[in-house]
Amino acid sequence: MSLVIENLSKKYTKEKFGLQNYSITIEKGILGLLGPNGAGKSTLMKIIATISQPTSGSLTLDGHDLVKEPNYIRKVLGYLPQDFGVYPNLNAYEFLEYIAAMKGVGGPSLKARIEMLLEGVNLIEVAKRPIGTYSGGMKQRIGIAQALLNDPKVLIFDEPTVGLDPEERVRFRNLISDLAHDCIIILSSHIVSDIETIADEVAIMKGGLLITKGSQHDVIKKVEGKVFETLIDNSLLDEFKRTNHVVNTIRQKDKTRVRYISDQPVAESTSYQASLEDAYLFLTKATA
Amino acid sequence: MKHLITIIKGDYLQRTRSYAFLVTLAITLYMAYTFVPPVDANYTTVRIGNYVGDYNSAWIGHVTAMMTSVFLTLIGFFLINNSVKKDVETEVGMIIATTRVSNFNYLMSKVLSNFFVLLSIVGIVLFMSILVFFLRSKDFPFEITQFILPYVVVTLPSMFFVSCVAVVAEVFLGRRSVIQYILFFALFNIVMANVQMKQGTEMLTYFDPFGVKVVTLQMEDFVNAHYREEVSVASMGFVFSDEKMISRCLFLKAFIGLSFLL
Ligand SMILES: Nc1ncnc2c1ncn2[C@@H]1O[C@H](COP(=O)(O)OP(=O)(O)O)[C@@H](O)[C@H]1O
Ligand SMILES: [Mg+2]
Repeated sequence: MSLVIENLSKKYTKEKFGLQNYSITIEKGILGLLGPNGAGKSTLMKIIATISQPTSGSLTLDGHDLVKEPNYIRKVLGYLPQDFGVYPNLNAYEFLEYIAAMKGVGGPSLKARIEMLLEGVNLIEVAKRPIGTYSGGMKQRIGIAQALLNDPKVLIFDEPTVGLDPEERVRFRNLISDLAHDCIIILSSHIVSDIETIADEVAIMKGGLLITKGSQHDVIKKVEGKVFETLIDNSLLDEFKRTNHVVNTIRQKDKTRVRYISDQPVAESTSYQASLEDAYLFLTKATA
Repeated sequence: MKHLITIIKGDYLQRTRSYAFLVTLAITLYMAYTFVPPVDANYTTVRIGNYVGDYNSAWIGHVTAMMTSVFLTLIGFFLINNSVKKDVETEVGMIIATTRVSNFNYLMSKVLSNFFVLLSIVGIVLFMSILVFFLRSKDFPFEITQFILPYVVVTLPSMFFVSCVAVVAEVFLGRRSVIQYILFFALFNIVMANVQMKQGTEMLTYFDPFGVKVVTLQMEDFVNAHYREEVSVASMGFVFSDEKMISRCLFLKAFIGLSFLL
């Protein structure tokens, strides 16, 4: 399976682009979309999910044009929108049955699948309560469950871990890893740690543009050997920040421990192992 | 088909478990109680010229069915005219839009769930009208068919009509609710004026989506035949009057037939 996106643009207003000339090929596996707010992650995902139309460009799944033939992806699609709603007066079973029917999923195995998914997102104990009484995190998990109802082959999760506590994040990761065989899974986040533990590949985006895409290893390579730490007087910090690419600071009394990226490190710097976070911060700031 | 039923069920449960539903139900029940005024009341609801019927099963069944048809159409519209809007507002639509359900089936499910929501209210009102019968009627036998028939023939079609109108209004006017309310209110008044016009002078003779004109025409014919009258107007609604109604002594005695069905 392969999702090919070529020169995709989405123009919201005359001046405002959600996406610009975006090209990417997505294959089986887990792709993490990383980018600050406003980068265009949701715009891209909505277009793939066929609820938004591109202004120009093309996207195809196995050669089928998804603008002309949205049902080709819809039958294998699971989508968790960044903002979505529920019917607050239904309980989890009723709501999932409702969405399943919308997706055209039914039959004797549906009940078991709903049970399995509610188990998977740890909602089985509250499943008989109206969803209106759920917390934000619980609602998010109902959203995750509905995306998986139809045994999808293309899974799109827009900021799935928002509102989830660390334990639930682990659960989510496991659920996704279990399902990841033979599927295209796209996750978005503006938090690197959400992505790095789970994604096979990452695509870093900003301002509607794709900055880079590759395996985590390849992306990290871009800053390998350029990550340093040094101690700086607080009084010199602002000046240092202006001239160097600082990714992190830790205050220590009158000095500050600074992590920065540079080709020419200042004296008394120690070289550090580069992380995805370093690469992300470097790439998204460099193009500011 | 099975999916459509599941969709309607989900929609129906969501909407009948709301306060708006309970409030509409309460208002309708209260009104249903007033549809059959006490004998010494200073108002009438359905009146044929100067005649009102005896409080037998046929009269109470038909009058409550007609009045429910009219008033539930009016207030029910406010209850059901948000089925698509709600999906947009609550962003459930974000999920629905990525499913394969066709626009037609989606809208169809909305029409039908609107209909079942109103039908639930009608069912409870029907029960209420039977209670009213036992409260107000002393000398006549209870005949269940005289209740069920007019509700099926008069009330249900108009509930279906308003269920469709509510969805069509949303499709064409989207989230502009106020315009939809105003247009619907105008439509309602046109229909009511038409229904109450003198026989033969109606603007639109066959335009009777509430299904009440067929019944009032029957009633007029009945009065004219049995009491040698020339009645050609029927009024509906809550008509208040300080004077003693001159006609109160002349009650319809017989069953108001449903011959128009044949
Ligand atoms: N419906 C819209 N109308 C106008 N501008 C929009 C709309 N949706 C998104 N945008 C703009 O497009 C850009 C990308 O937004 P979005 O795709 O939501 O980014 P992300 O999901 O990465 O935070 C932002 O600058 C945002 O303001
Ligand atoms: Mg977003």
